Amino acid sequence: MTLLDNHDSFTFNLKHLLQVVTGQVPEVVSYADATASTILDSPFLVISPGPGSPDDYPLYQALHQRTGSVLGVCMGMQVLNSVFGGLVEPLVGCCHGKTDSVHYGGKERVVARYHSLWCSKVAQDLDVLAANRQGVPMVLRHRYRPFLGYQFHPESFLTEEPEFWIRHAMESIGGPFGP
Amino acid sequence: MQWNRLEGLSARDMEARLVELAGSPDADLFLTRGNWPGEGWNYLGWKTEREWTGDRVIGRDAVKEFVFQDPAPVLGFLGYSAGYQGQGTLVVPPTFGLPTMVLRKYRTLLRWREDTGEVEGWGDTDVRLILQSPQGVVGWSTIPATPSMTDAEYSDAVSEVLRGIRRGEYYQLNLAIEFRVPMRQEHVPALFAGLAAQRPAPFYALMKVPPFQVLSTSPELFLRVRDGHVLSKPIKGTAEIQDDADLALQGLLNSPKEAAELSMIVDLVRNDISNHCIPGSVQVRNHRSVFRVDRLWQACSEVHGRMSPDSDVIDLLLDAFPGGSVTGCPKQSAMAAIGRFESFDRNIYCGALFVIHDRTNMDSSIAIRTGVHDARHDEFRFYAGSGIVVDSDPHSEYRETMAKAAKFLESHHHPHQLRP
Repeated sequence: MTLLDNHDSFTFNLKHLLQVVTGQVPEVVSYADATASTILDSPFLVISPGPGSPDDYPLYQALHQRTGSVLGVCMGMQVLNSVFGGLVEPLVGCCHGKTDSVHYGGKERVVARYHSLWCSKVAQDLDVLAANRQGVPMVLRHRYRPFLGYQFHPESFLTEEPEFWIRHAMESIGGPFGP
Repeated sequence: MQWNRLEGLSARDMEARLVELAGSPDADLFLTRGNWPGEGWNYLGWKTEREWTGDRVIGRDAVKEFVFQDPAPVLGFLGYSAGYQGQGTLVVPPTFGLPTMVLRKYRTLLRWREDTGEVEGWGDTDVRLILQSPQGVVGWSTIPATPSMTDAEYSDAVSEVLRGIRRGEYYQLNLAIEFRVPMRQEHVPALFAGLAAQRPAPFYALMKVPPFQVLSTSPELFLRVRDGHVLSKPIKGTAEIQDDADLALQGLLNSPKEAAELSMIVDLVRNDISNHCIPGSVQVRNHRSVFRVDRLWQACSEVHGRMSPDSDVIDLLLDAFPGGSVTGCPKQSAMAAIGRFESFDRNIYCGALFVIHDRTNMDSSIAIRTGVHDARHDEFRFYAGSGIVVDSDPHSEYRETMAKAAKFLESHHHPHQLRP
């Protein structure tokens, strides 16, 4: 499992959560050190949150060639949307360090949001599995590939049941550690 | 070598002599005040026996070699700019000469705590010499402070910061103002002792690095490690008490903006200590606790963790540095932007002061409400700042900054109130 760190400041939170849930130690690779093969070769790739917009991270165009599992978190989800043709634009008012409620898996779940941008137009090949009350996409999944995105931060201490979201990702997009 | 109980000397004696002790060129002080929960020992380092200083690039191995060469505890500080190194490729701004890191072992180290009255010594504990070195120091100049930004310039800077937030560059950015006041060097110990006596705060420190003196009056615990149990207590969220303390408190507790400001830094601090903690051990407790310091309510949280057996307190200090509450987040992009918005070198401000006991024990504060005196120019520089988030209002952030600066600004205007 590779955790690609986009100069984010919550990477170790995500690493520890992945490690606790999957029992595997993710290899953390900085975006600055990554190459196309980092994106293509790892059996399970997690794209971390990060500052700026997907346009600032051109390396992720390599995702077009990837067939293995990908979990994109926050800016990582926006990367998936952008690479496959969706739009990522400023979110009026932003939302940083605040909780929201997402209806998912049969119940309302409290999650933490940290984003200035949002997936204003979702790529054709991505399905919106959950959105908040204002219609901001919160969970996206690729129709044909094992790619899943969370707009919120499962690793935040404000997110209730953080393990649920990692377990769900493993079940939903498989990967070597899924059932 | 170990701590030895010193009979015939009480904590009260030490406190009564604080101004004389502070005035001695041979003494450094790091006080963790006993009237704050869980804090207690106050340290006096007397006559530096061995010293390690580093500028800009701090070598981890060299630091460990110095600190752990023998069991003697170390007092020292780490300047904010050391954080640029940890955050990668950022340019380190020119400094005015204060070393980035100072570590000291002393001929004598004394410690005392006010709750039990105990005094202990390490090293040469013939304390008669120490206690017989009175230094007469009173009063200081009263010329107004010169800030690095006017009210209007500050508002413009906040507007720029908010544009960066809306572009997604960072969620929070800590913006500070530098204040400069003329002050003679012999007045610094009096300012230190006067504030320590009359304006209690969890951490006080006075370190002498000629021609500089670092004076810190910090409310914030950066990292405490006790036998590998890590605690950080980030402060974010401030309410100035004007007339009605309860009203100010309710305002702080009911503000979604103040809550978010603290939450994002809690997530950041979790991240920063996680690198050297056992996975799954990092926990948040007492989220949004409130305490009062000076005329301010401050909100804080506790982030606990269990240090990895392969790591030590130096790893934790260097890799969690600088404290998330004084940068903003994401840390790297916030720090890069701070360098563009602030015209001055933060040097010790927003760095850390500490006492390191061994590989698994350390106490450190974040160097806020802190300044540095430069004897070459008879000038004291101090700093105050606040966290800017998307719903920040420039005027209230400016008021918050000035309320924090008040500790030095008012002592400066009313020196008579502070004579110990």
